[in-house]
Amino acid sequence: MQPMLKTFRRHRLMPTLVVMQIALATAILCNALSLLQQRLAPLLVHDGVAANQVILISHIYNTTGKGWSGAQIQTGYAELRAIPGVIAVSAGSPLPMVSGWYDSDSIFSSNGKHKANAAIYVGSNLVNALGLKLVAGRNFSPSELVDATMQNEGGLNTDAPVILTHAIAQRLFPDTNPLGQQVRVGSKHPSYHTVVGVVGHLLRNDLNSANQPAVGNVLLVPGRFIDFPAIEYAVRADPNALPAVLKSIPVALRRAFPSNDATAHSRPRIATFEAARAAFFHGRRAAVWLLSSVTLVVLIVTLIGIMGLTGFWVQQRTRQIGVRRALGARRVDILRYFQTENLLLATAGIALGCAAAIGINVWLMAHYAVPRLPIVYLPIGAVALWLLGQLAVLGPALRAARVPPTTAMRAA
Amino acid sequence: MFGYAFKLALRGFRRNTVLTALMVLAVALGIGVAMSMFTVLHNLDGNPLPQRGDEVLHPQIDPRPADLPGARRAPPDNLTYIDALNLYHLDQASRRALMSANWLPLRSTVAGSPLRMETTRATTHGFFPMFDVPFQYGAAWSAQDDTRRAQVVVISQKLNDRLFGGADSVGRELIIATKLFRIIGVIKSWNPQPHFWDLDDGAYGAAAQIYLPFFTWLELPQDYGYGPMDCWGDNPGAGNHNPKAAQCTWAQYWVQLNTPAQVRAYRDLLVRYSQQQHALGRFQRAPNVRLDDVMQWLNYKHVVPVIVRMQTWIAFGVFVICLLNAVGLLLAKFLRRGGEIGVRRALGARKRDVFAQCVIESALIGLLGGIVGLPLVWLGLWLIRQQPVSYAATVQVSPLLLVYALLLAAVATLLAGIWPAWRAARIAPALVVKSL
Repeated sequence: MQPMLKTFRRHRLMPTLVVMQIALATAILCNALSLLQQRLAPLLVHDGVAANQVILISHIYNTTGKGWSGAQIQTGYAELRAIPGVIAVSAGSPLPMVSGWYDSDSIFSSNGKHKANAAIYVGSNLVNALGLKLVAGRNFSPSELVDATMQNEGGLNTDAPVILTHAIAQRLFPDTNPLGQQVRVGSKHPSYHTVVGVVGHLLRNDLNSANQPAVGNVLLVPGRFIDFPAIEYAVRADPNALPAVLKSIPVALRRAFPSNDATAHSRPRIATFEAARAAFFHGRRAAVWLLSSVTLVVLIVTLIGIMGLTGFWVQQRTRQIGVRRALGARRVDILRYFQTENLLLATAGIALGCAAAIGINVWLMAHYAVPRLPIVYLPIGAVALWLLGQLAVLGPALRAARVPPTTAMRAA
Repeated sequence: MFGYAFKLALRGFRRNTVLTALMVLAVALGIGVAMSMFTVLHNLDGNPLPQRGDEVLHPQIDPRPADLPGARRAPPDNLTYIDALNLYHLDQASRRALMSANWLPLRSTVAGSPLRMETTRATTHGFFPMFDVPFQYGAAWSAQDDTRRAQVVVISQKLNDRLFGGADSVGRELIIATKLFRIIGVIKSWNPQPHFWDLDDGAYGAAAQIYLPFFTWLELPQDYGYGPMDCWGDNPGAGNHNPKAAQCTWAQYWVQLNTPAQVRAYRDLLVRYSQQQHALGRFQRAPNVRLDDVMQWLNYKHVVPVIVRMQTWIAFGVFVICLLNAVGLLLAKFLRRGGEIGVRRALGARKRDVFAQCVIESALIGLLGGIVGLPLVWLGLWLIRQQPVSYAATVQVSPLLLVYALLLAAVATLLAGIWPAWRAARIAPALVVKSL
């Protein structure tokens, strides 16, 4: 240890450069990893929808300015339900992956103790049509369906029961059984809703950095739509019948929503859940690629830098190594020496880098409303750079260990 | 002299191929990351109205009730119908535009033609000259058309291509929201990014397909929302069917003021208006006005996405790492050749010959790195364009950008090489030659 520090004092240049590189790399790595995680997290969450069975129909807008009547929406349901192979159908709004608008609000537990933000999906039979798995309680009974209109905010101004996802149920009722408890939606709606069931997973359709930790927070409301200008359907079919069902849907829609001047509508979009999911996450996947390549570049460049610098520094000290070997140091001692040296430099760099990462983050938070850097990224970045440093020094250190003791004598 | 240095540089590369290759790779990666991110920021951060961005201003006033829980201090972005109308009539001398946006159903007059929803901007005649909107055919409507609620429409080139195959359609008719409109102008492709005049629906994206006179539009039979309605009080939907509701803001207003004196006067006017409305009992708050020009407004609204800022900072950091890396590796490379440099010095090469030789070698490495990095820039921008985020579409690869990338690589590496070169030039020939 002592001789090492002495070397650092004697030759400040090389250690300083190495420390600076590691510091910068740590700072950047921590920030890049946290961004990467933000983009990646929703891609990894289980979406809860039955695989290869669900078709989503969206963008059935009534373009005359009036809403679709309850009867029309019901006809659409019946037409879709009648397609052979269809297991369940639900009108819904919004639906995951396809809806361009969001309905999300703060949900309060009735005792007022807990609150969580969630997306609100209203639909007549969403649990069956999306193939959601109930982990507790029951599905809505047909008698619990309420009228969902623009005036009662899609059924939220009623006392309809609700089904929660497991994620939000845990937030709102961490230490009680959520079944039978009551929740309130937002501060504007006075009505309370009884929780009758909990489903395992379901993704919200409004993903942004603010609700990142709550991607699985969804509240289901049993609603029968009346006079809604935009309607969507979820259709669950037998996996084998899926292609045939996909083909039959446009015909069924044309029968239910004939397009003339009185009921003009835009072209509905029809996609399997898997296709809709892929399209929905397309941008995130690209961002993940982008950020992972940046992270990789940082790592490669730092590796190259440390390797080059250490290599040179080892070469410069060939004679000292020879002397130490001649005085009885074993190869492994030389190897350990350079590895320890690198560890020391890396530690100094990492400490500086963590401070810089926090500093940059605080500055960004003050200026651009960037979210706080989760502290967990500091140890991750640190470990990554310790490993990287050791990897980089291995080659030069091994070369140093091979220096024969005679070098000390040969070079004058 | 230069040729000799060049030859020596090549010799140096050959002698230490691995180190040279690593340096070229590092520079290439740095350039790839940095240039692609800078391009995005440059595209997003630009002034969308360079000719007169500082003359076009966005007035804001504060008509909100005194006690509004959770309200920010800043005045609302948009105006209520009453304020919009008042401000529009208050300052008749300036060029100005009142506007909002929604979707309207449109079809051609041919029987049985399909009905489509088109993005609509409702505005007043000042919009077109104020924002320098170029016309392919026809022209904008006049002040008279605004006041007498003429049923005229300006359409985009894209819509004109689709409906009329790109022919001059001025004078033809369209059915918009069940009413008959006469086409009066066709806009050439025009879509400044960010579309600063209305940020309520995001700052980047496609321009509207049809432009209607504001007051005509207001009276159309429609139920498509009158732009992003923001209402206070206990009825958030108050404005859905009544754009004239007093508690709802939704109209954008822009005014052109050509001199700083006019801007000052206009600000005073806004304050006076607020005071007057306060006296009348309409406003409850003390005058709370803003008057931003285009760039101030974009900064105020934080239109450049946070993620882009972050990515740019990260890219900048990556670039600095690469430069630091270059400094370290060049230093190692030059000092390792201490023997050769010593001999050259002993044989009569001056310090500055050695210095020049090292700097040229650095620049050469940078240039090579730049060339290798160009495909990486292209790859990076391609990745960015894959994000269907609205801003991504605006990112283009221009030849000029590639030239910049090359230049940046060479110049940055050259600068990084200066200090190592100076160290190398300082090598004392006597000591080195002795130790050979």
